[in-house]
Amino acid sequence: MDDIYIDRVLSGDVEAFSYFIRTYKDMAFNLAVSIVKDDQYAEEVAQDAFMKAFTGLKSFHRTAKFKSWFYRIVVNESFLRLRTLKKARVLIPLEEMRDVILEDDLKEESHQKTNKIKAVLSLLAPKESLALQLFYLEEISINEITDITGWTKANTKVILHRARKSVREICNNTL
Amino acid sequence: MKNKMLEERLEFKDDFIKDFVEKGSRTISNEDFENEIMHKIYATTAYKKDMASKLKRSMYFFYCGLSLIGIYIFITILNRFTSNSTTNFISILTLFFVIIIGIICVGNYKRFLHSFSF
Repeated sequence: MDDIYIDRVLSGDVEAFSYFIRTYKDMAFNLAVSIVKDDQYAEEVAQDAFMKAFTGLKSFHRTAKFKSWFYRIVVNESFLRLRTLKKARVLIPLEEMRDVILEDDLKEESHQKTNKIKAVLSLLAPKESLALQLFYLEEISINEITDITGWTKANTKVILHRARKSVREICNNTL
Repeated sequence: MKNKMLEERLEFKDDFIKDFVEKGSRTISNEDFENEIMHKIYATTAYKKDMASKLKRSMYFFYCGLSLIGIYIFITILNRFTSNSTTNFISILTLFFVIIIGIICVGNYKRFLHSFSF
């Protein structure tokens, strides 16, 4: 399906690109938010990634899936943004975020569980939450994850193990 | 290959984490997200098309100007050669440089055009 729309975009049908936006916007946002840990910045990253995908579509050689190619753009854009944010020191330190979760315990019951899950995921290191999103949410194979992230296979497995351990630890401490 | 992938899935099979990640997945709250990107894409496309047409026109005039200069120098050299006067070394050198500069500039134009095309 992707190939049909790629051909249409490359032949000048700009409107056809909206198919990719509709299909991949939420996952792009999820990946971005798992790295930059901020909804607003994640949305900007997703927008930039879509723009880059559009302008770079002619350089996509179709040796890999469009999805992997696009996610790689999102991941690269996210880490680039993360570096800029770290330099500007606009990110909330993890300790402060942990306090926010504990404060939330006292607030109303509704939405609490989902919010806590989101908060726990935001406490994970960017690489760990990215690995979890790709492996468990998108159900992408480890080989594809290595293509998207540029990590080695062994490193990906280590990150996945560490991520699962971290989630359990944070859950035990905060929930 | 499929067996290996299945093995990996089984190695990291964790229903708690899977459920956790699925519950924590998000959707973009901005309903205008798609329109915003499409608007940007249309603007970029229009800008690139405009730039490409301007570049093409500019390249055409540059090419004409350069060709005229080249022809003029070539005729001057030919004139001197046929009228038996000594051929000016500087004229030949100028013609040579005009050709080199022409090749370089046309190459650059093509590179710019390529970057502004889809």
